[in-house]
Formats: sequence, structure tokens, C-alpha cells
Amino acid sequence: MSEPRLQWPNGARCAVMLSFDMDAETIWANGNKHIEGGSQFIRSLSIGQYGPLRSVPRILELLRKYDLPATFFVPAWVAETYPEPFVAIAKEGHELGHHGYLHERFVDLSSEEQLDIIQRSQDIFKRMVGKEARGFRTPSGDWAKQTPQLLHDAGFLYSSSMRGDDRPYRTVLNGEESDFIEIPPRWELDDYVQFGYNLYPAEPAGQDRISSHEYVLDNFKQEFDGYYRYGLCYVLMMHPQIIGKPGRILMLEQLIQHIKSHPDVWFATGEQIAEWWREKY
Amino acid sequence: MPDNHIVWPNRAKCAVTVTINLDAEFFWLSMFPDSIHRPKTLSMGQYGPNRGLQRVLNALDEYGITATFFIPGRTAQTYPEQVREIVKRGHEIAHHGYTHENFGHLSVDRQREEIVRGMDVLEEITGTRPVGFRAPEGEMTQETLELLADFGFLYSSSLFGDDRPYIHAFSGQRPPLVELPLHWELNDFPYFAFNYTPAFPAGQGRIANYTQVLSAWKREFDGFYEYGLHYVTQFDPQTIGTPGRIGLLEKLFAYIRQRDDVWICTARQMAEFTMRGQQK
Repeated sequence: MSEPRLQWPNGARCAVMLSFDMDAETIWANGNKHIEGGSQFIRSLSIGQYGPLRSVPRILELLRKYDLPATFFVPAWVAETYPEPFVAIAKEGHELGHHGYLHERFVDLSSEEQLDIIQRSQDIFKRMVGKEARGFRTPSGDWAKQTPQLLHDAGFLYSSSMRGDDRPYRTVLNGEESDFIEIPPRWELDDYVQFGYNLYPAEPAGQDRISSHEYVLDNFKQEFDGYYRYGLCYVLMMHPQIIGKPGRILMLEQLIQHIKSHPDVWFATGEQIAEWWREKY
Repeated sequence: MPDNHIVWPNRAKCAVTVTINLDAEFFWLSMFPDSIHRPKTLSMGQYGPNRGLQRVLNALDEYGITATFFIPGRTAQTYPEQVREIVKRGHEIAHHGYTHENFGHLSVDRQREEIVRGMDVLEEITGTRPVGFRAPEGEMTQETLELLADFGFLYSSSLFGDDRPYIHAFSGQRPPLVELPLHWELNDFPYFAFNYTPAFPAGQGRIANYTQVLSAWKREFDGFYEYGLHYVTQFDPQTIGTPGRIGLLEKLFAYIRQRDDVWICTARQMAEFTMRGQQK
């Protein structure tokens, strides 16, 4: 028994979504805020600052070199704090997606608080790049049960937040499949899980070793080969502060070369994939 | 003390049993009850029956391997079609708790209740009463083994203390129970399972490198083969069933299949074989 083959544009065999969560220091600020004086811990914050300052230009250059589209999920606070890289992403034709205002954990918030964050951030996007985000990725952790309905009502086309599939699907709202599309990423395709590190406060929680570039590239390639084999939607979830290091960006380039050595791969933004899914499935 | 060589059927050099735990979201719910409010966390488990399982079943078919599936009663109730499909394809179904509960934290009465509930659900959905049991991740007690013997189970596959089957003998009238021991290093979860909040593993260790994990499984197989033991692998479709990892399973099966003097058997077949040896 084989899996029914999905249909992708122009007869492509599988879809690839390159996504970057431009969290900057918001993840560190959130992690530190329960520690006394945490808001003044400038060393861990600087790990995040590296992302917009150094990595984003490097990533944009790489995408230009291979003529690839990408989706950047950006907390609106980061957009306000780093207007130059944020606007540059839009100018280069990439998609900007919603990622909270301060990378808030939605599962802990009331509907009103969630709505406030959603709308406040959309206003900032509109002011800075002339349009609202159509895609949403829940910042670290889970979203609340009512979040997908709130996003759908707020006019979002898609989310890229869950872990339960390796292809898009229509999110079930009120017991029925809606036109709010989910494009799930997976932990095994997340660079942060492999490379994110700090000594104090500890990241990851148990301060495990940093994975080797070679092993992570090997995993990402083997997963791609599987997605290609079954014709699925490969969602690479990266963070500029992690993947944009001089050596890791070369690793990403090697991964892109590996993917491009396969014929019929559709590189697309989340928006393009969600539009296709709405139309086709 | 000599490492006594076991004489396997048809003079096979070693034995292999492939076991699959279909925990689905109940792994996460039993470890972190709060995840009932966490759709993303639950979705990791749902991937198992919804996506990974089909690929695992296909890999088993391709290599002609009959496996033993340990299934919590709640999984069977939530995914009855998937469980029937497993039965249809000829695999053994065994007991894995009802809600994937931690037996170490339950009174004897509660353990008895959970065993009965799981047994009844599996019997209702598959038409067969399970004869095997695996304690869900967590702990178990001596009473768990005694309850299993009282209920007429043939085997448990829960403990880690050996690399060959052995018999739990009880005092009094209670019938014996076979144990088919496991090893963490032959399980996919310690290498691959991951989540941030709730944190899994507890210290949020890295996801292991695929090539190195396959190498570890192959090296252990070489060791079990060399010493003539019983190699019991333990996989969960939510972990091994991703597009990239299913290839590891296929490569491991191909590696084992290179040798023709390996007895590939279900847990039940091994338990019956062990029990016969005991009665001689």
C-alpha cells in the first residue's frame, strides 16, 4: 500500500518551504524574565541581536544567489526595533509572517490578550511594509484551543504551527474543515533544537552539547530525501541567529544544493503553498 | 559463569522480535496531563497513527516481518480503524495499559482495573484477547507481574535486566510468566523524541544523528547475533515514521535480512518457545 501522491504546481514532486523565525532577542528576554534582573542580562540578549544585525543580510544574499523565495516570521517588536532588515526582507520579495508581538506563548493568554497581540502587530506590519501578514506561526510552545478560530476570524490564510503532519491540511474549526490552512513544521527540521545554546540561563534546559554541523546536515538531507520520495511538503524551520553563523550558512547552502540536485522541487512561500492547498484540496 | 548458548528453532544463530508501541497522544497525556490543553503537543502523538503507522506497516510487509504491536486501550478506542488494519496485516496485538498510565504509581486495585479495561477494549476491537503486556513508560511493581499471571497472560516485555527471555516463577499456585527484556538503546524514543514545552527529554537533549543511530542499532544486532541472543527492538510510529526516519527502519530490516540464520518471531512466539523449554 502506498501513500496517495499529492499534486503540486507544474507537476512538481514535492514542496519546500524555507522559513526563518526572526526572533532576535525576544526569546532570550522571555526566557530571562523570571530571573531577578533578567531584563538587564545583555550577554544572552546579544545572542539574539546577532540575528537581524548579521545573519539576515547573509541569508538574503544566499536566497538571492539561488533565486529562492522564503517566509520570515517576525514578532512585531523585532520589526520595530530592526526596521532595516525587516523592510529589506519585504523589498526582496519574501513573505513576512506573524509571530506575536514579543514572541508570547499563546497557550497562556486569554482570547482578548491574543486578539490584542494579533491586531497590534498587524497594524505595525501595515505601517512598515504596507500590508498585513497572511500567515502565522505560534511563538514557542503551544497555542490555545481558541487560537485558530481567532486567526481565521482575523482573516489569516494559514498557520505553520502544529506538528501532526508532513503536508498541509485544512484546520478543523467548529467540527468542520475550514479554509484556514495549516502547514506543519517538525522539530527534526528545526535548527534551534540542534544548535541553540547558552550557559546561563541554560539553553537547552539540560545544557546538552551543541550538535555538529555535519550530523545536522545529514539529518536534514535524509528527511528531505524522504519528503521527496513521498512527495510531501518539507518545511525547514530556521532562526537567523542560529543558521546565519558563517559556518552554518555554508551548511544551509550545501543543503540547498542537495535539494536542488533533485528535479521538480517547488520552492514556495507559506502563502503560495496555502493558496495552492485552498484551491486544490 | 558461562554465557550459556541458547538453542533457537531451526538452529538459528539468534532471534529478533520487532515491537511497535502505538502510544499516539497518550504518551504525552500520561507524562504531562496538562497537555490536554496543548494542541501542538498532542499533534506530535497524533502523527503516529495518522501518518507514521502506514509507513511502518509497509516496511514490515516489504521485509516480510511479523511484528508485535503494544497498544494502550485508549489508542485503540481513538483509532479503531488503524488497529484493525494492523490485525488485518497479520501482526500480534498486545496490552500497553489503558491510558498509557504509570503502573508504578497505581495501587494494586487500580492496576487490576487498568489491565482489565485495556484487555476488554483490545478484545472488543481486535476480536482476540491479548496474551502479552508491556508496561507503559514509567514504572511497574512486582504486583503487576503477579496480576498478569493471574489474568492468564503469557508474557511481559517490560524489564531491562537481561538480553534473552526468562521466566518469572511465583510462589503458590500462580502460573509462570515469560519476560522478554528490552533495552533503551534499541528504542527510537531516547534518540529522536523531542519537545520544548513540556520539555522532552527532561533536559531537552539534542535529536540524535540518524546515521549514528542506525549504526548503533546495527552494532547491537551484530552483538546479539554473535552471542546468540534475543534482539527486541522498540519503535513508535510517531518517532520512526517520519519521511526521513522510515528509511532507517528499512535499512535495519535489510541488514538483519542479510543473514538467513536469524529467527524473526513475534513476542508471542518467543514466549511460547520459552515456556516449552521450561516445561521440558
